[in-house]
Amino acid sequence: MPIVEEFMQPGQFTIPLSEETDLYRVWERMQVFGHIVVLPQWVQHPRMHSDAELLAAARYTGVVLRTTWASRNIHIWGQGLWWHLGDHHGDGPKIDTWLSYTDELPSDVFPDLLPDGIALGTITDTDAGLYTGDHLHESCSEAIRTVLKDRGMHARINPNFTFDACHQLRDEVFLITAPKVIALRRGWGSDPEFEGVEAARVETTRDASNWVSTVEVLDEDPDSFTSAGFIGARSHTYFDGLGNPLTRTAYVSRATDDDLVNPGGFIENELLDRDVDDRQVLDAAQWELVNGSLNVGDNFYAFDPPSSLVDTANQVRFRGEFIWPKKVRCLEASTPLTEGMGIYYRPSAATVVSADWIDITRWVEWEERP
Amino acid sequence: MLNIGRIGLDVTLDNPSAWGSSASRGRVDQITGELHAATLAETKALRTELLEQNGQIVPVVWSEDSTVDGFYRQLDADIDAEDYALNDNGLYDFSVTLERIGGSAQTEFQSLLTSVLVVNQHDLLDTEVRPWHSPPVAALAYDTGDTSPTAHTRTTEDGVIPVIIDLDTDVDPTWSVEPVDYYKGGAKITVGGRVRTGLDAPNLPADWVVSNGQIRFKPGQSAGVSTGRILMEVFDGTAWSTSKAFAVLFAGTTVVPKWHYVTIVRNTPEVAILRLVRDAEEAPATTHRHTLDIHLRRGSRYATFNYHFSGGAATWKVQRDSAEATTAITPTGGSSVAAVRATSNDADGDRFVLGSQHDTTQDNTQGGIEFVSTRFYSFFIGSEINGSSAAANDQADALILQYMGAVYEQVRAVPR
Repeated sequence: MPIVEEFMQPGQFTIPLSEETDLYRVWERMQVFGHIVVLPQWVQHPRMHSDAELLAAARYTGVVLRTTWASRNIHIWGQGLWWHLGDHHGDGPKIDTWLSYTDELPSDVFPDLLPDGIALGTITDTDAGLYTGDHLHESCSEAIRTVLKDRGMHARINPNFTFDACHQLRDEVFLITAPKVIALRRGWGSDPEFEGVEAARVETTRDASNWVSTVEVLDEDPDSFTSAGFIGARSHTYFDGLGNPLTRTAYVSRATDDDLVNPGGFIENELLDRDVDDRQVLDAAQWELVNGSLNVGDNFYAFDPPSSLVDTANQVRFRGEFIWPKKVRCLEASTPLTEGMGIYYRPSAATVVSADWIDITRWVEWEERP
Repeated sequence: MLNIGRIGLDVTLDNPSAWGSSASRGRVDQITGELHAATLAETKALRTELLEQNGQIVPVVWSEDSTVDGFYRQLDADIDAEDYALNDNGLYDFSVTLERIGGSAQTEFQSLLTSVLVVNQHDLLDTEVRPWHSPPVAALAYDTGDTSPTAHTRTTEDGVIPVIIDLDTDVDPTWSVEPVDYYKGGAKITVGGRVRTGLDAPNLPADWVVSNGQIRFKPGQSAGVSTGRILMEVFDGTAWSTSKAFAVLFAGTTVVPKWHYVTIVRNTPEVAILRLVRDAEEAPATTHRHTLDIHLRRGSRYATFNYHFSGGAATWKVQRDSAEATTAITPTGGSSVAAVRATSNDADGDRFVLGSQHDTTQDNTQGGIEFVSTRFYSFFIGSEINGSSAAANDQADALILQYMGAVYEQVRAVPR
């Protein structure tokens, strides 16, 4: 699938181009670190709109990291805009100035942590509380995740390079409280209140590979690298092969100073992130999901009793009967490129106007609808 | 006589011209023949309904060779229409591929049930409601493990059907049935006079029937046009009763006069769901639509209705089209009225029941209930067949508690 979006992760995209691609006007002008922009409908003359208007209407924007031309295979590969905060290796823009916060609103913290390549969008402070912490010598991505975890927030980077965040139980950034999509193995279809999607395959996985019993925060002071004294441990009933309680510790580095108060919320979130992961994978065709009915990060309902996708406390009327779906979060979505979309290359330059955009739509190798 | 699922039950299916079987990791049978009936309309119906059965578990019965009788999954169906296909009574060449599950000796069925207390405003608890389930008529070897539900029976036009009440909600019962009995007592949908096997059906909002052999619902119609009413008829063991009409009223006063679309939402022997859709050209005149889902389970003495209006909140009333005095019913364990029931037996000896999990205002003169300030609401319409002489598990109080113990069912075939 060409576009793989991940919740608060870079994801990736692959744009296959036909062998008839115009080498001079298109191929040679597409450079790394430019951007691929996907519009939901093809716009014949992008220069009739401003750069900002096109980005605001975009379905997806990704940064070009690799171009490949081998015989008849022409591909553009890259990652989503979260890459501009930092990648999986921890590489990216850095916080190289000591930033210290005491009881600050998140909306006053994020502007300092965002790199120049990502603009501040809408930060909703409601229910998030106040942040206290220090940051130095870490990637912007690490620093931002620290604040998000500490304050129980989630965030999204929009196709127009803006960063939105709110508390993870609120609806300002993602659809959380009242999902509109239900995935079912049978009986899917439309309904006045919900959009039903066929879950062609349901796979249930329990993954303990990331599990730790203890999280310890290390003090990343310029003069030392010692335990900050903040340790979170969970009670559990797992044992090693010789009957000892299973012990696994994750060290998490955070820049601190002697005045740092106990980052209790942060440690709890780290332990939650590193718990046994019960995950269900649903193969739900996204063909039926149009105009943002379901985006990565949104909650949706899934109902399949044989797979334990049931929540008896959640009664829903759907297509004439009562069902009790489980509310689950969309963590990853693979979106095909289908004919009708507009695919453009936006150059990497100090100033970009819409006239600089290159329309590569006609050379894209579209995916067939299943 | 050949029956492939429902094909052949209402329109005779001729003996096949060929029946091939192959076995590698399982047995696959391929049947070829001709679809040819007494009229062109019936021949077309055979074609459409055979195609619609793809993917379903189908019982197959052949009078010429009972050794092939059993349960299959229809994998695909091919229909060839030559240039003569629509001449005279019609003729289609067909080929259907069936994956054999097994005969009645090695096949049993498991009903995967999810049962939860309906969220209600009568303070009914999950320990007070009565979830229930019915296998087909003549089903045997019904097993709920080491639980002890209540065994009851009801009479359908196909015979006596078991009704297992007070089910343990953690149980997925298993049962067995002969292929020839698989559909008996089950839910079925008829549109345009044809029993439908799948979801495809013509748009005939004035000509449909949802039935389970003991209660059925039809549209009110005048000169072939829907009047918006819903008619209920019940089977008393001998004959079907006179129709009893119900109307839905917007703002409590304006009868919803017509339905524009009828759609089959779910069509399985255990549950049938029909959807009616209306453009709000009037009652009220807005750019919105009404949706009414009719949900009927095998073995049930009531149907569940879900109404949705895409416009603003309003007052809605569901009532007898012709006034029929009712009595308010507070169910056992409940704190408020959950239904109205006809005060006296009607001419057929029955008493209708109309109720909801929502708070309602009762009209015991007209025989109706009213929902205030809402866009969507649910209710049930049923009958105490034999009225004041109805068995305890068929009386209004029991029907309310059965309704409140909602059950979602999927059936699968399992090896015995």
